[in-house]
Amino acid sequence: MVKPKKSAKSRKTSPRKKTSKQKKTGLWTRFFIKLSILFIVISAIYIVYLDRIVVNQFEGKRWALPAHVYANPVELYQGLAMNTQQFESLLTDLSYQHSRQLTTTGSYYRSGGVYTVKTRPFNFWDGSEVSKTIKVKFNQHGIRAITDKATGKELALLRLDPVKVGSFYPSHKEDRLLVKLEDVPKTLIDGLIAIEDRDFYQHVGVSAKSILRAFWINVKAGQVVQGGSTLTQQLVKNFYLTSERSLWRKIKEALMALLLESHYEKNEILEAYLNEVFLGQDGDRSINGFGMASLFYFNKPLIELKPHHVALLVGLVKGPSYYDPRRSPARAVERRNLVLDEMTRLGVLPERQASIAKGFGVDISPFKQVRSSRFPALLDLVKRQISLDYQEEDIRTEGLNIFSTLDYTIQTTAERLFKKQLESLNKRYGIEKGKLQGAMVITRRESGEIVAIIGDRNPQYSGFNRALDAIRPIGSLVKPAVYLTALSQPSLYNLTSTIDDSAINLKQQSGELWSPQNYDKVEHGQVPLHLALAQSYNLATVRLGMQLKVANVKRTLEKLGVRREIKPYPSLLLGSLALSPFEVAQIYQTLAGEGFYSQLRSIQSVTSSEHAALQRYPLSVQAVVNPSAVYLLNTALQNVMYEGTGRSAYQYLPREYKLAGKTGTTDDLRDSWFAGFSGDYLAVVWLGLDDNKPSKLTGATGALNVWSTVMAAVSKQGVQLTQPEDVEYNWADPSGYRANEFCTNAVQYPFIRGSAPTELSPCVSEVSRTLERASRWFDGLLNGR
Amino acid sequence: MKIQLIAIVVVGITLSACADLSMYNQTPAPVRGSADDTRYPSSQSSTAAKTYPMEEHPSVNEDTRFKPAETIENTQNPAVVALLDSAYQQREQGQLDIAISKLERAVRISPRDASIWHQMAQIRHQQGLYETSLSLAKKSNLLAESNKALQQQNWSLMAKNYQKLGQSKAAQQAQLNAARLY
Repeated sequence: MVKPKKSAKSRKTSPRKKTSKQKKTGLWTRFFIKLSILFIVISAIYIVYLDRIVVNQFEGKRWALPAHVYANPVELYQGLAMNTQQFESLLTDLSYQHSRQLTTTGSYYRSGGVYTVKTRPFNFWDGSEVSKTIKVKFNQHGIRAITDKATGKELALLRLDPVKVGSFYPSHKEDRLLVKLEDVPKTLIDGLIAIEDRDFYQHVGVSAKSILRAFWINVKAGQVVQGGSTLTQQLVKNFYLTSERSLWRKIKEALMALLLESHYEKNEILEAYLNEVFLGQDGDRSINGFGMASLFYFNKPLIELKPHHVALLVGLVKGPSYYDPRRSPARAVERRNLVLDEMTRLGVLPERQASIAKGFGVDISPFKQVRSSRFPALLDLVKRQISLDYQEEDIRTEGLNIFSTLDYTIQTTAERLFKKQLESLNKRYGIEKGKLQGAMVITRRESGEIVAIIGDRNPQYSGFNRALDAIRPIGSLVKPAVYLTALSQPSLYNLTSTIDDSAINLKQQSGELWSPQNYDKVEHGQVPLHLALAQSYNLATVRLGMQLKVANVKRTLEKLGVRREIKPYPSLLLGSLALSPFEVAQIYQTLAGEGFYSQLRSIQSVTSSEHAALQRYPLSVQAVVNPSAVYLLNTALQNVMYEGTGRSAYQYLPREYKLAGKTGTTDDLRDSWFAGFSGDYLAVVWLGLDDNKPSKLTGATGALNVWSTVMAAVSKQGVQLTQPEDVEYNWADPSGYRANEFCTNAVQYPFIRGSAPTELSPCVSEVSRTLERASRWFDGLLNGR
Repeated sequence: MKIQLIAIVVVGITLSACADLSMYNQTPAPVRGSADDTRYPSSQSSTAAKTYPMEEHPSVNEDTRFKPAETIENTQNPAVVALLDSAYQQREQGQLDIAISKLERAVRISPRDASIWHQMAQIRHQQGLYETSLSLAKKSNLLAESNKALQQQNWSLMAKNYQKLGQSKAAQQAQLNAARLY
């Protein structure tokens, strides 16, 4: 393609060379000839060079496309516990518009308890959802039925399009949605050509006629109505050149326009123009191309636009900020009407349609697309996780679609409550204004998918992401690992085993003496294991941990999911180990998953800009600790919530939720932690000050308060624990002797088979003893068979 | 014990008959055993044989601490059935990753449905991911609680995985466990 151009040039010039050679042979002439040849050669080389640029950039990847991150799509189904208010707010989050006519995809109306919704089509990793008009019926429990309006059939399931939660932009922050020519309304093309370049289909890239005409029209109108550059020139200017205004640049622009036209079809050039043109600014994001502009201004795909929308966009080409329909609606409407008139005058829009179009106001959607910094902590996490598989350059320019695990409703609810609670705690505890900081991570209990993540007291601030980067001592949050280590040895420990909660002195690595204390500075003597955990007794835990050996506790922590180096010092037993809230969530995920480790994930899948399936980040589980020991531990963690340090949670949540969790507080109240789960979600909260000064909050007064408030709003299910086959319930008295239901103070505890106490409690009467013996004999008889 | 077994079978059959008469006229998902998978709360009693009456005495301890959880009856949501169905079809067409993706959607809706986890384990086995399949089958088995038929399928699958992983002893044991549930 490059060659013919060059030869055409040389063919034109060579005859001239020959004639001049024949006429004169003077020195000057020779010099002039040489100079001309030099000039021609240089020009030719330059043109070849420009040609290269034109072709290479046009053929290659034309635009750096930002990656878009989506929340997990909402699936609607019969029986889903969602009320009309929540449904309506979901539709708002998805920027669905209220419209009786359902003229556009992404619109709905309500009549009584029935919503009629015209859904948007969307391409997911595992297939696409087409647009459907559906009826969603509600009753007092939630969704009663979903029917397809076209077929009248009930739908078992309906996946809505996902909320876009952010983007990774190229360095210049241009945002665009590529459109194909066939997806562009004809009125838009007609209008654009009418206003910007009437001879587009006739000229060769530059047009003297249009320069003259533009000049004449502008003089006549007394204002600049038309520009003289062709669409091709405009494209070249935006696509290849800087915005510098000089004669040289104009020449270059014209040359490149000619070259572009020589290589490519008009329609290819037009399509490129439609996708390139700058049409607006949203903060530091620039809106490029008509596809994105249509969403940005009207919240509709381009193909659905009406003449009055189209004319407004065409009018914007001249000056997106001067005619900004959000800031200067009157000016934008005036310009739009001018476009409509011009279109009618040229016969591309019937007069009647133009007058209907002129009847509309500015008609801009109140919804703007979500800013890139809306969920900074999540985007940070997604970025880190995806960077393991993709280059930074590709993430910012390949137009990837990243489907995150974020639950939009939970994230926004959690953000709102988190912020509110932090402000109120900040005030209540007399902490210097605005100093109390915090982070929160919420995951799905069974799969480890991150549904919400907050990294700052003001969740929308991007900056230090405490959820991932605040590495703080975890305090008593480590204790479940100590008790799990014990319960994993059923021949030695069960929930009722007694431990000595009395002072202990240990020599540290440095030679110094370490004398831990209980929070209440009291020694409690012989206490059952479950109580020591519920009340978070330090002395009992240290004594237990020393019996178990610190190295074994360290191993348990590693099995549960700690990947950071752990120093096996005795102080580990009280949580000297420093971790981020995210890492803590990973540990508790294994407990919530009943002994199965699931890596915390923020990404489900990735598709290309053309919606081809690229990558999936699947759910995986790994059996890492004995489920029976975890079952015992989890029942003890439920007891922490019923009668231990976590009981204030039940001021917010119903007792049937059977929550399991643990508080954590570090020396001098520097860190306030809570980690725990309900039936559907696991959450970890950390509160403290960035400078590591005391925050005056314990795990219970600070983090648990935030945890409970958020969980009460998002969790819908109580904890169900699966009782493994080798776990049985037996009565035991407070001293850990075997009891029965007639004993006061006796409680049923789970035991791994064979580990229940056999020694009978004094409370068991003689009659019961006989009965008990008989029953055991009978059991033995049965099992023996 | 025999009497109890008979009772369970009777209750099971009754329940499965009821299941056929259930409200929605759904085609049973081919991926799961039809009536076998119905969970019957009554089967809980088989593990806790009490030889003295418990209900005659007012409970001394009112609180629910450490009490074993009552089995909550778990009927499969039509949305989950639809996803299992669709996953089955994808699997038949050899689109295993898409099938997994559908199953993950089902897990999001019904995270403790053991049959979904079992299906995932099956597909992972088919893909040659034996370690993953093994863990998924174990998870399914834990969640299956009283569903003997599903537990039996899980043990068989675990046996196959152990075999592939060259752990023949564990494979034998798993096979034995499966056989015991017949």
